[in-house]
Amino acid sequence: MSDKMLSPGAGFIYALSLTALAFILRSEIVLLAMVIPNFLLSLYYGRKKVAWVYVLILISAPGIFLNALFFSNYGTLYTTILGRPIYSNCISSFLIVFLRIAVIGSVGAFFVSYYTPMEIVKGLEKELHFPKGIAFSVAYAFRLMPLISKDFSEIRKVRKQRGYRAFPLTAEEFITYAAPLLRISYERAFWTGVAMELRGFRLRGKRRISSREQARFEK
Amino acid sequence: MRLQSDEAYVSIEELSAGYTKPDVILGASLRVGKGEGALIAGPSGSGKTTLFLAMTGVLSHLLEGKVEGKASIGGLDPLKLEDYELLPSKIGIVLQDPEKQIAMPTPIDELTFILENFGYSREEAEKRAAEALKSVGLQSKANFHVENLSGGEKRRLTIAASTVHDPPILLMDEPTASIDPWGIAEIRGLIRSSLDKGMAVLLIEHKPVFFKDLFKRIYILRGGKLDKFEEKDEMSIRDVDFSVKECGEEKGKDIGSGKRVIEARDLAVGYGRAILRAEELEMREGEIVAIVGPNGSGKTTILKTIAGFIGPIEGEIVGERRRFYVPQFPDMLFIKRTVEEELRDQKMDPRARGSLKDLFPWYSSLKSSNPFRLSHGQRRWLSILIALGYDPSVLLLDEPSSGLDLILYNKLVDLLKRVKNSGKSVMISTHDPRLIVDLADRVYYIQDGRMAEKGKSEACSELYEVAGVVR
Repeated sequence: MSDKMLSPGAGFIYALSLTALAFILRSEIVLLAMVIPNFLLSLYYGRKKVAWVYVLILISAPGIFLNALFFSNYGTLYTTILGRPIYSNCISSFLIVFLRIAVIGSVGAFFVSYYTPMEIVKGLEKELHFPKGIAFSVAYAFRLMPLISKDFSEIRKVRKQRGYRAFPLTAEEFITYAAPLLRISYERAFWTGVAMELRGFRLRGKRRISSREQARFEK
Repeated sequence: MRLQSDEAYVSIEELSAGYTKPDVILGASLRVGKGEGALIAGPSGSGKTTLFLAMTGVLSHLLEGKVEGKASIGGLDPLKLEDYELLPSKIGIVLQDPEKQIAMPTPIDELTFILENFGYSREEAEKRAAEALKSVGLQSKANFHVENLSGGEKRRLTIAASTVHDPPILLMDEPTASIDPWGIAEIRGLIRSSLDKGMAVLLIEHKPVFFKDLFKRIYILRGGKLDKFEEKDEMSIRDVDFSVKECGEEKGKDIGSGKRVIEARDLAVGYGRAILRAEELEMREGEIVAIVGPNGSGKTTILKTIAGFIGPIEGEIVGERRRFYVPQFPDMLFIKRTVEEELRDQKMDPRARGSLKDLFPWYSSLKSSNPFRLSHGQRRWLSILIALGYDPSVLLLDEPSSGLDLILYNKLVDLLKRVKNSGKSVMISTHDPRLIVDLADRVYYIQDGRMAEKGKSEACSELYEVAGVVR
């Protein structure tokens, strides 16, 4: 099925476990230790394919910091920025949330870069006995990612030409970025779904070819 | 289930269909037998795709739409769930855009996945998939990532995907929507070989000019009604393109007298490595220049290079700095919530902005609409107006006529003539011979990675010839 050291099923469990752990753990050091190997592995296997995941994680940083500043700014005084006191809990809350996102992003990036969508479908179907619909959806989501990355880059350039920022910083800008991306991705996914439906996806795992068809093939 | 030779391979009777109620298709009937073909033409928004989705059962079983009447494909009734599930073994399908039909990362995976759906073992599926790839000349790229295939190769992959399981029926929904004349020739080849093999072929298409010689039976879908088309009615088909443009006589090189707005020598463009080279590129004020070539030949790349999105690999582009690129997907340009807000964007040039709403024919009824909710043609229209709002000296349009029906196409030609008459220059990347005849002052033609100027008439004739259109 796959000549990889880690089978797709095992890879999926690994990614899922680390994602769950990211929500539970609160140690910055442990979270950082989880990010580094996945970050390096994803870049080793995926290179440019996953770089945009890290761009998005970095874009989220200012928002996470503002959130920590408004809702968790207490503890001992750590420093001041523009005359505003920053307390220790603000820093640790920021780091924990940011590293959690980084763990989820990096393990997802590793999973996407290490396996092909076909390997994921087979792994989830055969090893983990996932329903074919879920297995295919997961695999196709990964097939869409490089396409979304390409669209994202094109939208950035077109927006710059219109005199707008190339990267979204505010919530409203983020929405105006997301809208065309979602629309284009939805249209792609819709027609791929129709194509797969009419190419026998519903029959998958249900039907064996008849002996007549088999004979015709052998001929 | 074996089909008898006298049995209708595809038939619909009094079929009505729609998304919330059956009001898009109104009582359509047709019949296609073994070795027969039928072409259904119709303008944008006439319900062609709805008809395709309805007759295959997708509308009722997947999209929860409403379908009434009878349908039979390959002896199965796709409107019944148990038959709908078996339908794929009887049909091969080719849809609008190759990009939107490929689900797997490599050509071999794509075909193997489809054959596995039909119950083939992995080994059998791989063997048969390899044979199918060989038949479309993709055997050497079986394990390439699909993103590294050219547009033409992706299209050939979708052709292989439609016939890999040897179905008796071929159904196609606007297969030329985003393809070039080279692709049209391949689709024509597929139709011809399928008919020769005795398959039933049903083609739904808004550019029937490219296929009308292959079909004895032509239907027109308009206002939900499906009517048989008689040749004598040809002149009355206002909104469906049945005619081949006259490419005209060559008039000799006309370089124009306006000042140069774009000039480049020994240019090489691409992403990291050169995919297209041009010894000379020149454009004058008030001129419309067409860049013509197959999908994946570098037309978009050279437009993006001129727009300044990417730097040239060799050479330099000089001239007017105010250039604006309108992408092939107009949605990428939209930022605001309504049409009105888009056309009043404060970042635009105040003088240019003032006249934009008068140039949008549907402004009074659609000004409060979200740009994403407009029809494809309207979205393309809006994207060009947004570009004009920035008062560029050079407008760069990427495949502006793709997906437009004849009415919208003619409106687009009028709009671009007005733009030209206002002194602006327009560069169009296209493989549509009509645009060359109707608009271009000059043509640059791409062949084997090189771009050079070519006569209008010659370029137009060549595109029709490549497509294999009978004139």
